[in-house]
Amino acid sequence: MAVYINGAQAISPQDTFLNSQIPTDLKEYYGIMQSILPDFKKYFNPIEMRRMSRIIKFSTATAAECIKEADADSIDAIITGTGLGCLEDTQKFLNKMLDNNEEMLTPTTFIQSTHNTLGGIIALANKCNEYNLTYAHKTISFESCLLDAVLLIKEGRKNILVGGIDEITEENYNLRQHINQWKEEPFSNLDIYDCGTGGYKAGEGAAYFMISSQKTATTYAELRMIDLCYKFKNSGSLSEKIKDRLRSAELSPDDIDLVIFGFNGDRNTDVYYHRLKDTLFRNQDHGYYKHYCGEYDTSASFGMWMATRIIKQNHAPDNVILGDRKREKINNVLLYNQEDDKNHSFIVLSAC
Amino acid sequence: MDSLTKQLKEQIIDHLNLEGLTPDDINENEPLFGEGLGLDSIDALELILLLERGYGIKLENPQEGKKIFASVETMAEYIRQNKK
Repeated sequence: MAVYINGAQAISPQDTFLNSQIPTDLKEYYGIMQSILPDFKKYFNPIEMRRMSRIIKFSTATAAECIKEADADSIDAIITGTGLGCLEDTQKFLNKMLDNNEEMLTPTTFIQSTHNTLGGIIALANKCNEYNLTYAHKTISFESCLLDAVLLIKEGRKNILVGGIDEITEENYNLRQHINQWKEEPFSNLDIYDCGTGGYKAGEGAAYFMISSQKTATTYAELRMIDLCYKFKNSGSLSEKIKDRLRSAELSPDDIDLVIFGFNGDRNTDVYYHRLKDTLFRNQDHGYYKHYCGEYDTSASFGMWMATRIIKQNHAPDNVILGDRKREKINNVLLYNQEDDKNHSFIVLSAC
Repeated sequence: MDSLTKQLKEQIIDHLNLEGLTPDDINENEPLFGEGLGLDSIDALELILLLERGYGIKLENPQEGKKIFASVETMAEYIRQNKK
């Protein structure tokens, strides 16, 4: 049974919201890459907005536009993936616990701090009482949502809203700076490829997709394959696994026209992408996306947003492509992401 | 508007995150719940904590809540009578 992507919207550190194309004029960041936010007054009234933190606002607005774009008769499930959830409200709540000696805690920040607030708010806004689940599986949170959505489609549901959402706060950024997770500032997001240093750029964003059993006028692509693997014994078993999974989707490595890698600028992580790029996929076009959005647990969702645009327009902009172009048409795109040789994920989108 | 009423309005705006509102926008005699500011049950909990933290007043009888939180003015009156 074919699975289609009938809506795809993203808020990110670049001008992507409501943009039918991948922006080519990239915004440069030397520190944290924070999302470019729309005017939320168009989406929420002041009473609704007063309890919404930044992530809830940009997640809900992205979901609203995705639902509108897909123009589906119904939403049969809402599945959200987030590594760290509503971080700002979690910090507020924990700080209040400390300030007030764990007494007299206000309810709002606690209610809004849970990971599943994001999916809950969308359900309330759309009066959707259907299946509603949140995956908080670190760097495979979004991919786990996709897997779940495909299974639900196979069980007979028609339209599943799937999202990947994470935010970065200054407090969290400063804490993680102590363990050298970030690039030493100042470091431009435009320089992450092959920079040869450790650490990566902190990013954030929300990307929502309407996963559907039916092809419609708004269809971007077919979701041909989604697969995950926690860890591989060696690089050979990684190639074998990819070949095996592609075979189950009736594809071979040669059918892939473009591989979008999750290069994030950390030499320790990027080495795994280089290996695959120079061996199994040496005859394909190569691209990357984290110079657009930065690194965060659900950044693969931004990569998938980018892949929807590439498939739809049969073209990838120059600042996405690495090296020479080898293929004239882009029919099949493989998105490959991993975190320091763990949580490998493979998503294939096909033109349809 | 006396200083307590003004302070209470500022605290309500701050605690309930009523962005874009100033103390002058809130009529102290208008209902806080349902009509008027349109507050709900979660806000009621926030207001109970505001009384406790800001004025040292612990609401012993929940049945009194409806009367105390009817408007800013009824809250201010309750504070005047019970502030420790």
